[in-house]
Amino acid sequence: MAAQKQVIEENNRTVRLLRGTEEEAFVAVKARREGLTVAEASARLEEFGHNSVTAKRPSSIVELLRKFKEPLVVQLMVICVLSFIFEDDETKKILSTTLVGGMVFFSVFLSYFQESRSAATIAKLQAMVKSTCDVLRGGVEITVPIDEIVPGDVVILAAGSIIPADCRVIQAKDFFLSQSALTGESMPVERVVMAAGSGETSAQECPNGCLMGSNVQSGSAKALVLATGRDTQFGAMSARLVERKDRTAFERGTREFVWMMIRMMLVMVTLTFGFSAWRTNNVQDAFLFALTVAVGLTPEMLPMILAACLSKGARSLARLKVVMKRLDAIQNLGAMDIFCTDKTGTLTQDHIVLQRHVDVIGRDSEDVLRYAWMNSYYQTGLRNLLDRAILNRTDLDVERSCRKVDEIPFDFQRRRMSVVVDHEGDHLLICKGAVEEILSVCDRYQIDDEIHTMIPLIKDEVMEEYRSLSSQGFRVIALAYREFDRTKEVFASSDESGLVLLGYLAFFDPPKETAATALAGLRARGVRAKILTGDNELVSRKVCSDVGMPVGRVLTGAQLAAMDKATFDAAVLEADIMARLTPSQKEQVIRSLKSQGHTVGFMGDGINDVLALKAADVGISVDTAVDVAKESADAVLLEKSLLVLVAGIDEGRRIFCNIEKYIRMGASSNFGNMFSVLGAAMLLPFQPLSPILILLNNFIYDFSQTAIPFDRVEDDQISKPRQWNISGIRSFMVWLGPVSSLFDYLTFALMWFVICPHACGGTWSELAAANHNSGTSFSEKQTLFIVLFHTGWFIESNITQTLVVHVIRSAQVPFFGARASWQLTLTTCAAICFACWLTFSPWTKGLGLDGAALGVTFWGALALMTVAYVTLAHLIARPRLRAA
Amino acid sequence: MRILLEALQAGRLFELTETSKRGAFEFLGRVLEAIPEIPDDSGVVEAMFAREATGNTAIAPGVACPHARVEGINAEIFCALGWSSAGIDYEAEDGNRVNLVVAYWIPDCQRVGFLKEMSGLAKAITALGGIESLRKCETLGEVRHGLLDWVTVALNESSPDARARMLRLSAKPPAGEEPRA
Repeated sequence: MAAQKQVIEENNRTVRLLRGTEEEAFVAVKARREGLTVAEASARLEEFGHNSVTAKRPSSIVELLRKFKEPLVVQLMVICVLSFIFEDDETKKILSTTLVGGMVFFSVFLSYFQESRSAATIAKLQAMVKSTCDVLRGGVEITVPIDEIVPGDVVILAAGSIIPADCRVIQAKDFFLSQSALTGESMPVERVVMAAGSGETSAQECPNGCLMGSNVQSGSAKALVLATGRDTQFGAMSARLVERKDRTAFERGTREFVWMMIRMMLVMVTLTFGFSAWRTNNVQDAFLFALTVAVGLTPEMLPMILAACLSKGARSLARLKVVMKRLDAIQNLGAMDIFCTDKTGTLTQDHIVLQRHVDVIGRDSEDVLRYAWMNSYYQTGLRNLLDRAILNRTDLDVERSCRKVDEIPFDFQRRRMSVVVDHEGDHLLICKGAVEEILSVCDRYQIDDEIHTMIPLIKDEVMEEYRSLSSQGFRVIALAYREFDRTKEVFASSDESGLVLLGYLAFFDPPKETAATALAGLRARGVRAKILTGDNELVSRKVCSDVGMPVGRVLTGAQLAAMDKATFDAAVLEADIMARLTPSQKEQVIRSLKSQGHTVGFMGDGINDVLALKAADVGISVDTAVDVAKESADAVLLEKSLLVLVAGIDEGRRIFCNIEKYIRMGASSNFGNMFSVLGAAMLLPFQPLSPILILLNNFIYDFSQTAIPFDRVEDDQISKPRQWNISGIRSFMVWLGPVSSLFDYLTFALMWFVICPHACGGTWSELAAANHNSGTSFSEKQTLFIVLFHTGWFIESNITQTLVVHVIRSAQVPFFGARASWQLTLTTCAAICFACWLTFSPWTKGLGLDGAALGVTFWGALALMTVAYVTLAHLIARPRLRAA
Repeated sequence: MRILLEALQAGRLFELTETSKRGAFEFLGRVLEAIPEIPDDSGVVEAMFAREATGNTAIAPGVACPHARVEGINAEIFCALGWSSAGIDYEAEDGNRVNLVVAYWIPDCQRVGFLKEMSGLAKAITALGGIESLRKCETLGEVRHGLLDWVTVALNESSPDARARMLRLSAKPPAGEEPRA
C-alpha cells in the first residue's frame, strides 16, 4: 500500500509540473534553460542522492537468511530438528545435529560467500560499462554518468539515448520514445513541446513528458529534469515492477532436477521407514534411520556448487574482458549453437573511413563531400560512425556563411535524415541515407553543374554505381539536396521529396585480421554464425568472403517479409546472410531460430539491435554500444572481438561441464543408494548403517565435492554446444545407480557371509541361536557383527561414492587418460583417507566403527571391488559422456 | 539528343519486321555492329539483354532505349533506331507495346553523354505529347520527320533543366591562421 501511495504521489507531482507552464516547471525545480552550474549540480547530488532506482542491496544478514529458504536447506533443517527431538542418546543427538548443521553451513555459507564474491566482481565490472548522458552545465554540453543527473538539469537526448530521469520536453524535433518498459506498449509515442500542458492525469500520457525507463527511438530533444532516482515514476514503481523474468533453460533444468531428487527421496524415505520398522520392530529408530537416509539422498551441495561454478565463471570471463550482467546467462553462452551478429565491428575493424565521395556516375566530387560534411556537422541526433568518418575527412568554415535552420532526424522507416541550412538567401535541404530511400525521393540528378530529369531508366543506371561500389565491399550511402525559399522555416519529412541526387559516399571498414580465426573457432565448436545486417547483401557477401566465412544462401528483408511462417523458419535456418533487415525482422529471425530448438546468441551495438538482443537466449553487446543496447544485453564485451567471444563460449561450457559433474554424481549415486538401502532394510535384521554414520559419510562426501568448480575440463567436452539434457541425466541415473548398488550388495555379501562370521566366530543366525539358547537377547558378538558390517559398508560406500567423480568427469580413462585438477584430487583423497582413519581412530570408537578388526581379507577384497567398480562404471559412463 | 540526330542523319532508322523483343534486339544489334567504329564481336546483343535483365528500358509509353555498355574502349556513342507500326511486346511496366526502339552502344567513358541524352529524350517525348504523334505516321519517312521534330524541341528546350548553384565553402584555416578575405 505504501509503495502504491508513493506511485500516486510521484505521478501527481510529475503531472503538475508537466501540466503547468514551462516557466513554472523551471521555477519549481530551480533551474534555467542553460542548465545548472557544475557547483549547483554537485550540491544537488548531495541533496537528492544518486540517480538510481536500484533497490538497496539487502544487508548481509538478510541475504544470508534468504539462503535458508532454498528447498534443500529447509529439508536439512527439518531433519536436523526432528533428529534432535527423537534421538535419545545424548552423544548421538549432539553429533548428528552438529553434522547436519555442518552440512547446512557448507551449503548456505559457501554459496553465500561465492555469490557475494561474484556480485562484487560483477558490480566492479559493470561500473566499467556505465551509461552516460549529455547535459547542459553552465551552458556547456558535457557528458556525465546517468547516476549523476540531478533535478534541474537540462539533458540532451537523441536516438539511442536512455531517458535518464523524469523530464519535461523543452525542445523537440520528431522526438519518438519507446515506453515499453513502463507501459508494455511497443509502438513509439511522440513527445512534443507544450508551453502549457494538456489535461492528462497520468504522467505517461502527457505529450510533453518523458519518463525514466523509456528510450529514444528517433529524433532529438532537450528536456528539463523534474525528478531523479527513487523520486521518479519508475523509481516509485520499481518495488512493484520487480517482475520475474522467464526462467532460463538452465534454471528450469536445475529446478526439475532438484524436485526429481526430492520426490525420489520422499518415496525412498517412506519405503525405508516401513521396511526398517518391520524388520527391527523399533519405530523410533526406523524413523531416525529414514530421516538420515533422506539426508543422504539430498544433493544439498547443489546451491553451493552452482554458486561457486557460476561465480568462478563470471570472474574467469571478466579476465577475458566479458562482463556477465546475468550469471545464469553463462550457461546459455556455452549452450549457444547459433550465433547471429551484424558484420560491423565483429567481422570488420569498426574503423570506418570515408574512402570515396563520387557523383552519380562515380567521378570524384568535392561537392558531395562538402554537402555530406554539412549534413553530419549540423545534425544533432545520434552521431554514428559514418558521420564521424565524414567529419574526420575535412573541416569546413561554415560558421561565417551558413546557419542551421532545421533538421529532420533519422528513423529506421525512412532510413535517411536531413538538415536545412540557410546560405546566401536560400534554404538548402541536404539529405543523406540509404541509397534506395534517397532515390525514392529524387526526381532529378546532377552531373557537373547541370541538373537533369530523373527517369526510371536513369535510376537503374545510377544504381549501377552503387552496386559496383557495394560489390567492392564499400558501404554506400547517397546524398541529395533541394533548395527552398527562405520563407520556409519549419521542415518535416514530407519535404524530403523532389530532391536532386548529387552522388554517393563510399565507406570502407577493413575486415578484421582475427575474424577468420574466430569464425573457424566458432565452427570448430559447433556454433554456426549468421550475419543479420541492415546493410546490403553485396557488401555483406564481400565482407564474409574476405574473412573466409562460407556463404550459402543470402536473403534480404524484403524476401523474408514475403514468406509465410513455415517458409520463413526454413529459410532463416538455412541462410548465412540476412541483409537489409529492419530491427523487428532481426527479432523475428532470432525468435524463429529459438522456436526451432536452437540456443541463439545475438551480438549487437546499435539501437536497431535492441529488440534482437532482448529476444536472444544470450544477448551480447560491447562497451562502445549505445546505452539502450548495453542495458538490454546479458553480456558486455569490453573488447569488440569474436575471439573474446570464442573464449567466453569455452568458459561457459567448462562451467556447465562442472555443474553437470555434480548433478550426474548426485543423481546416479543417490539412485544407487536408494536400491542399496531399500534392499538392506528389507534383508537385514539390523540397520545397514547407523544414522550417525550415514550423516558422517555424507558430510565427508560433501567435502570432497567442494573442489568440483575448480576441476579442469577436457577439450573434447567443450567442442560442441552443451545444453541442459535431463534425459541424459536420467540415463546416467538408471545405468550408473544400479552399478553402484551392485557393489554395495557385494559388500553386504562379503561382510555378511565372510568377514563378520569370521571375526565373530559364527554367522548371524548361529549367534542369534546361541543367544536364544543362553537366554540373552543380544550378545557382544552380535554387536561386533553389526559394528564390522557398518564399518565395511561405511568404507566401501565412501570410497565408491567419492571416487565416482573421477569416472564421470571425462570419457577418457580415469586417472590415466584424463586427470582431475589437483584441488579435486586432493579433496577426494583427503575424504577417503579421513574416512578410513576414522575407522581406526580410538576417538571415534563411540560411533560404532572398528577398522582394525576387519582384517586383510576385507582390505584386499575392497581394493579389488574398487578397481572393478571404477572399471565397470567407466565402461558404462563412457558412451553416455561421449553422447552428452 | 545529338546522338539521335546523328543516327537519323546517318540513316540508321529502320522498319522493324520482327514484333518480338529478341528479334528487335538482334536486328538493331547487327546494325550497330556494322558501324565501323564499333569493334567486331563486341557482343552488343548479349550486353543489351544483360542490361535488360536488371530493369526494363522502356522510358515512356511506346518508346524504349535498350543499350549495351562496354568498358575499356575510348569511342563515341552510337545508336540505331527501329520503328514498328504494330508495336512489339516489350514487357514494359506500363503494359504498352513499344513502337520506337532506340538501341545505344555506350563506351563507359561516355556515360554522362548517355544520361543527358536520356533526360533530353524523356523531356522531348513529354513536350510533344508522347508517341501518339508518331503513331499517326504512315511511312518511315514521316516517322523520321517526327523524330527530327523531337530533336529540334529537345535542342531548343533549355537543357539541362537547371544549373546548380553549389555552396562553395572553403576548408577551415589551421588554428592561429587568419582566413583570407
